[in-house]
Amino acid sequence: MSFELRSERSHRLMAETSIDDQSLLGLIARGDERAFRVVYDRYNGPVHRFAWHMSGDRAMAEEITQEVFMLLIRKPRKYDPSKGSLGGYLFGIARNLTRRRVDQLRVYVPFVDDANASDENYSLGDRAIDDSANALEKLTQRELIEALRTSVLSLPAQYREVIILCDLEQMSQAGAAELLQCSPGTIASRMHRARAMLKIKMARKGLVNNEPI
Amino acid sequence: MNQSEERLAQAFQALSAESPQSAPAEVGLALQDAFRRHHVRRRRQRRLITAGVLGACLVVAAVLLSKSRSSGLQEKQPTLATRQEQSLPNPETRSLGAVPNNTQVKSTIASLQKVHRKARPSANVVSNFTSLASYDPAFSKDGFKIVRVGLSSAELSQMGAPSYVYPASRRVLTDVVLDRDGIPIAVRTVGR
Repeated sequence: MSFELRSERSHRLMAETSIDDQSLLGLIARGDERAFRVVYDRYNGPVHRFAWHMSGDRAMAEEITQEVFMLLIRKPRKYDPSKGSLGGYLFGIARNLTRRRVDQLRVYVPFVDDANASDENYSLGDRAIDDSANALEKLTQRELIEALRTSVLSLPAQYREVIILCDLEQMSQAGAAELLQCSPGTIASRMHRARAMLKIKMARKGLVNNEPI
Repeated sequence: MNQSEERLAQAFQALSAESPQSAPAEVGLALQDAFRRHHVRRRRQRRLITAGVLGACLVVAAVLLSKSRSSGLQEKQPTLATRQEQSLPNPETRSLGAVPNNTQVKSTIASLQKVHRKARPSANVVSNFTSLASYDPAFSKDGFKIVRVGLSSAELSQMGAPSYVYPASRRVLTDVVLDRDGIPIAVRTVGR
């Protein structure tokens, strides 16, 4: 009992004091469970959210989160601090796993491409844009969120991940660039295009006006 | 920022707020369990490997030790033989039937004494080797042997060794130098 209390206290202390990831990974490699819990507490949320937004499937997001941390358990020394942050490393694993899973299972949410403007599921079309004010009044907040979620899911992967990282995870463009291993300029242009695509999709659903950005 | 962008930003904020803040607790618990199991397995493997390596080291050490011992014994034996051979006078240089040269006999016996002292350090040598009449350097080329036996004074005198210092009934511990044919060529008395 006292040991549990002590270990709980030291765990909290470890989480509060910012022990750097490299030291924590060293402890994990030696089998320190508290260090693993600290790393898990730090990164499980962002990794899980990223996997969820990327796949649109809660179960898959859980599996991916589990796999990402299992890799950390099995091979903690595989992370190279010279190549970037631990968060970036974990995001990278989650990104690859999600892409692979989505490609394998073809778990795509009904895809609404710009070319498929006449899709019956989202057939509000130009009329919806004209009557957007009325449509917005009719939609509840929940529907708005759901519409945005499906719109994000329907984006091509390279645009989707930028939107998830920068708009949903509030990551800086520089951080996203480091994580996705491309230039900040590429991230900025992808962001611009992704937002434009989202606006069109949302406008088709009658949620926003399709004004030029 | 126009109205649609504002609306989009609001939607992003709402979606972000609605997103789960962390993975379900079951995932965390399963991972903790997996972490424990992984490290228990690793520790067990490491212990096995350490034990295996230690065992292998011990086996190698034992083999090396036994090899070095056997090679040491093998080295000692040829040394003894070579010393004996070196110390023996060359019989071809002597004429057959010649009376044994006392100095040559002495040197041969002295070298044998050296070897014998090394081999039996616990024995107390009472007298030096005395050459017997049967010693003939012409016939004894190599293969000298020293045998320790208990002999009576009478037996010693029969061999031609001086035995007057001991009573006739007493058995005396004696080192007898035998040539290749087993003929005694020198003796000395040994006390303990």
